[in-house]
Amino acid sequence: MRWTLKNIVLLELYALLLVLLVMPGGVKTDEAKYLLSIPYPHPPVIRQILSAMKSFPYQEFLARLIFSSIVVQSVWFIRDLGVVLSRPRRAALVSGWLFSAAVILQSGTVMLTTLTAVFGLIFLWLAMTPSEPDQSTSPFIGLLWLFGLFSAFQTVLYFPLVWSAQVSARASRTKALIYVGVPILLLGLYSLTNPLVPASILKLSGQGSALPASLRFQNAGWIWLIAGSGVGSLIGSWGLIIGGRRDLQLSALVLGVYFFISSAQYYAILFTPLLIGGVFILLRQRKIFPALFISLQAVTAVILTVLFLPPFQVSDARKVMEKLRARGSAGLILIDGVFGHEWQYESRVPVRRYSPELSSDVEDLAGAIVCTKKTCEEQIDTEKWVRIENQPMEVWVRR
Amino acid sequence: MPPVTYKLRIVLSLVLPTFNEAANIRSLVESIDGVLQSMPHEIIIVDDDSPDETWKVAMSLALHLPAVRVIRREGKRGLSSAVIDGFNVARGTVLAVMDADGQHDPILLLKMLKLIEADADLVIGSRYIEGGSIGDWVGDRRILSRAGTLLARNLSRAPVTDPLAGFFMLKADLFREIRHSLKPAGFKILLEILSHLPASARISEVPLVFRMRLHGRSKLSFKVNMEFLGQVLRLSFRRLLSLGPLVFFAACLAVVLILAPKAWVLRRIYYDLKYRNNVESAILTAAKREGWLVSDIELKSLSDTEVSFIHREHLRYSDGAEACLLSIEKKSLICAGL
Repeated sequence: MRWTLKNIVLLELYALLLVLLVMPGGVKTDEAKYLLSIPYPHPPVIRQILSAMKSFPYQEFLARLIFSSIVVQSVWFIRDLGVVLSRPRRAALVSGWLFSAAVILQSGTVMLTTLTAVFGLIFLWLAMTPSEPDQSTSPFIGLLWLFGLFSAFQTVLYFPLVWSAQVSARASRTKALIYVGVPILLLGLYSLTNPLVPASILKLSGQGSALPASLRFQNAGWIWLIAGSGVGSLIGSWGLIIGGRRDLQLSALVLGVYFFISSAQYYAILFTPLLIGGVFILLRQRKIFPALFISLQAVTAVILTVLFLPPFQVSDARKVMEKLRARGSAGLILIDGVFGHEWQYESRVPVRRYSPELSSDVEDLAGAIVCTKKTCEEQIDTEKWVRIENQPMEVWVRR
Repeated sequence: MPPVTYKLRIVLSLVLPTFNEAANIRSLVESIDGVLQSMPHEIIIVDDDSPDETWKVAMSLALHLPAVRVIRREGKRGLSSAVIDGFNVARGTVLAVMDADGQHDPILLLKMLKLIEADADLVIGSRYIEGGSIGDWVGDRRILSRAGTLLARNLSRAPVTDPLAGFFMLKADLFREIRHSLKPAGFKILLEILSHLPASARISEVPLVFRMRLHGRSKLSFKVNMEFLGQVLRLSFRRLLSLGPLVFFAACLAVVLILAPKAWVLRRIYYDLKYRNNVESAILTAAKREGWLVSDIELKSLSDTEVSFIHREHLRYSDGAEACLLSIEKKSLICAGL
């Protein structure tokens, strides 16, 4: 008991460290979307929970710590999976998760991919551990699947694992079909209630497919490398290939196609649970030296973390909004040019888009204009507006 | 040529879990052996390495009573697990368990066996059916037992009056069917068995009059009561698991009830391309005019001429929201704060 408690505390400290690693970068546009519960592209469950905390002064830190803790503490599922292995091999399996560059880089972010990966890990655990033959877990796997799907669309990429988990819970084919299929249908129904969802999915896939195939291959390669810190990627993939587990192979294939289309590096963590499955298979079947695996994994994790860690600098949105607050600027903030939701998150007053079509009534209510494009000087009436110096971009306030 | 010996197939395996019962075990085993002498049987004494060396007494009994087998468990404690260990090594087609303190009357074994032969799968010696009694228990133990029994009745898959009885008999095949599901913890192994029985199992009860213990002290303690509570909680949770399908379909139904009306209201933008383009154009024009982000607009309803939606600022501390009505053709907008 004392040993377990000690490990929980150590893992929590590790989770905190991972938060501190990414926090100085400030809130990113996707994170702001979830923290403010902006209704796209993902379904509402997690973002609603997060937005319930949006009046908390330390919402960002709290959300990061919760996400990081969930990801790090989910290592207990891996420990349970590895209960059939010797202690050193189990340690190697556990390190496959904790020293995955994807886990290190992404645990402290408020991105739904991290929680989706945890869902994937739980489904992997359910699929690979034998359960009681009384089928009682089957509907609960269905509920978890429903919860996962309504948290993030990408959960659907794990459907082969969920099917396998149902089979492992001894559900009949019909029941498995209901417990797997009905939540997917309900997700389809949700998409119909929010036209932004299909629109944003189409937009995202369009962005990915605009890249040349060679670049997309390269990105998919980096995603694979980050997912298992190189060593885990190799060993895990080898295990996936020789293990003969169709559920894992099919999920890996689906994810591979998804990475190729979307090309975003933060999806790497989605692949980590599958690599863990592969490492587990190989640790059971082949002579792997656990100490060597752990050491190499740790070294490659450090190298990849250094390579891909976002810069430790305060975001432009935070700098500008802090400056405007310090000046006591009142009224709306108009932004001209491309901007993300982090501007909304950092602002205490409504943020609007500045364009030639903007009504003069709205413009009259504005207290500041921020220009994220090269320059806005030509559009600005300098009789009414004055520029603040020493800002990362043009910022105009009322005279 | 050596004499040919025939081994009779053992009918009944009786397990006696013991801990500090050295003073009771000899007379009890002898009386059981006397009752069962007409049938092939074995008496398996499972002792948890008693400090009073019950196992030694049991082993000495085994020397002159061939039906007696002794298991001495070192480093392992608990009545339920002792019973399971005994059942696991039993060779009889029928298994039984009774307390080793003399509180259960061995005569009942024959009556129980008759019911098993008459097609019952499990027979319980019940203190709470007509003819049964809890004997001379003092008030607080009487109340505790009654309360525990009431709690446990709800956890049993079949209606029985005494799910906490320590005296019962069951078919070995039935035990083999469920043994992997059993979690032997605490004292109440019958409750564990009852909560894992298949629906088809036939259960009978015979009245049991609880007798006073011959020697020694009762094992009932605070720890035992806590273990029982833990078992009740675990089995209740398991019961809850059986409601899984209901919970799943209730959750799905709730999702449908929430989403379907909204999807129905918006259906036209999915099949009427011209209408969708008009709506999109009206919303984008209004959004540009107001400086809104499209992601801050949540559609509520659509008609031939108007779109109603909610515009949210999505601010951290004071999330202003307004309900708006937009004319699709004229693109005129009316909003009111929420």
